[in-house]
Amino acid sequence: MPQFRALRLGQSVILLGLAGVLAGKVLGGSIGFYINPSLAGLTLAAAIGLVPIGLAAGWAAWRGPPPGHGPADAATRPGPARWLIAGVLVIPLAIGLLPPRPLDSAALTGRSVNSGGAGPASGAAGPAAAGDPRARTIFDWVRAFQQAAGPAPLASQPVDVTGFVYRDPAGPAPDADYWTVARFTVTCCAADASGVALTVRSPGAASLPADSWVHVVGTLGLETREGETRPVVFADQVTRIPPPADPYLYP
Amino acid sequence: MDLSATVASFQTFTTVFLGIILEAFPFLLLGVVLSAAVQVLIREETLRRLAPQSRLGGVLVGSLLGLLFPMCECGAVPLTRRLLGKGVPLAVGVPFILASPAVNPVVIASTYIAFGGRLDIVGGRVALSILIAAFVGLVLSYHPVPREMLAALPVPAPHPPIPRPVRHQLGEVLVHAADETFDMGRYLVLGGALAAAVQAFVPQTALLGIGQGPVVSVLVMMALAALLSICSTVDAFVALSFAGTFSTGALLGFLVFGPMVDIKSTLMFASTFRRRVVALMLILVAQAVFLLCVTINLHLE
Repeated sequence: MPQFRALRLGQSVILLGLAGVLAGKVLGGSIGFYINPSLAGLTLAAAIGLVPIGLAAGWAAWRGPPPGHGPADAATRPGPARWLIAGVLVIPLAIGLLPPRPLDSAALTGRSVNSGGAGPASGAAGPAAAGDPRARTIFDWVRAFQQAAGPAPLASQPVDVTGFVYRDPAGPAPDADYWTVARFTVTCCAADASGVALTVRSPGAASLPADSWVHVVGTLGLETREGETRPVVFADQVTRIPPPADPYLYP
Repeated sequence: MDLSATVASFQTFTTVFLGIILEAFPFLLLGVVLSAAVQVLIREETLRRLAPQSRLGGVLVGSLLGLLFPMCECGAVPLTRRLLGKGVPLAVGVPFILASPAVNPVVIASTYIAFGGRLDIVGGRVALSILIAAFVGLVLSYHPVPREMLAALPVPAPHPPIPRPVRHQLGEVLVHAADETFDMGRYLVLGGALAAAVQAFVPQTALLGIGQGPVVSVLVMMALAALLSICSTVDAFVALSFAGTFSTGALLGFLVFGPMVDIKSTLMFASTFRRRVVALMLILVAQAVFLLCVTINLHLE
């Protein structure tokens, strides 16, 4: 019964291929583009678990249909539906072989980007504002703004963050000196990614291409617009850097 | 939308899709292996003897079973499907499949952490999930011929009466697991692809902009939960980003409805129940979540 054997063989190839994709993402160093790297062990375990299952399907192909199966049995005479079922798992296999890419500006468009927002002109700093301000990530800054109900208590602290250049379509025109340095936070996988961002003011910002990674050093300033105090990083230095291996923040 | 924007959205799609697959596959595989072990190693009579006999006992056990088996829907569906196929009553299986993604220790802990100990959210999530799962399980358990509600399962060869060597049993479990991986994996893949497409091509702000009132906000958050298909273990952290803008009732709508009904789990349900039964479950769950959460918005805020 060649059909039975072909289906089992196909299953075996797809399962072992998926094991390869899962293990490749973890060992190839791009797992951080997709999930929180602290969960990579589970993905690797799944890759290892798929190997005996894939081998068992291969073994079933080699052995042929088990004795006692009637000719009408679905397992011995695979209809088109069963081939289609096997085909669906080719999708993650194929997409998994595309070159890995982290989320970028395109994913931020249409999402609510959290920049800690505006607040009153004064307030008290929360626990997230403790410690060296230079060690804070963009996420830490945004959280500190939220705890303090606004950026005011954190004014004139030194800023030292990395992120990618994001131009908010709803924001100021690209030739202005204002732009946004953004980062994604991912708790579990890329499906739960949400954006955090800081507004930056630096001369010649228009020459920075969107999605390029930058290291921003400067001071936190305040600007009042529409009656609300907003945080703005006055940049002393903006350096282009290569994209990091773990592009997201994993709080 | 011009071509470069479409290409960029497609890249978002592939990254989110692979994120869902890489994240969910370990849990799917765990469910598949457990289900294959149940199929090959546990006899129907044993399960029938263990399952509670009364309806109320059944729905109670079913909705609380998640506390013992912390599984998200990717693992719970294949296991429940096999248990139902082996004669475990619907009164147990339906509440388990609906409640266990939310009512389990991992999710309760993550909700508690995300909301910094807001007991109205944590307690509300657990209580509403149990209540609604038990209600839907109770309704479905009144069907005169429960087997008619189940989708056809691929039935393997009957057990030979003679005891077989362990080596063969292990091989059988693994070949079963291969079939089950394809059978359940297709729902995960299709559901994950749909959810990733929504994330890549439909702006979230469009949905959130629809409304904020005590009634509409619940609908918006329920729709968002169903469309995003985020794993219940972390959805609390996503809900947190809406905590500033949405009422308690709307947040509970997101946290209770999402684990029970989303694109991914609905497709997986179709592997277990007939389509009309899946539709009935969705309608019952949606009505119950909507009514309870609007009531919370109007009377308890």
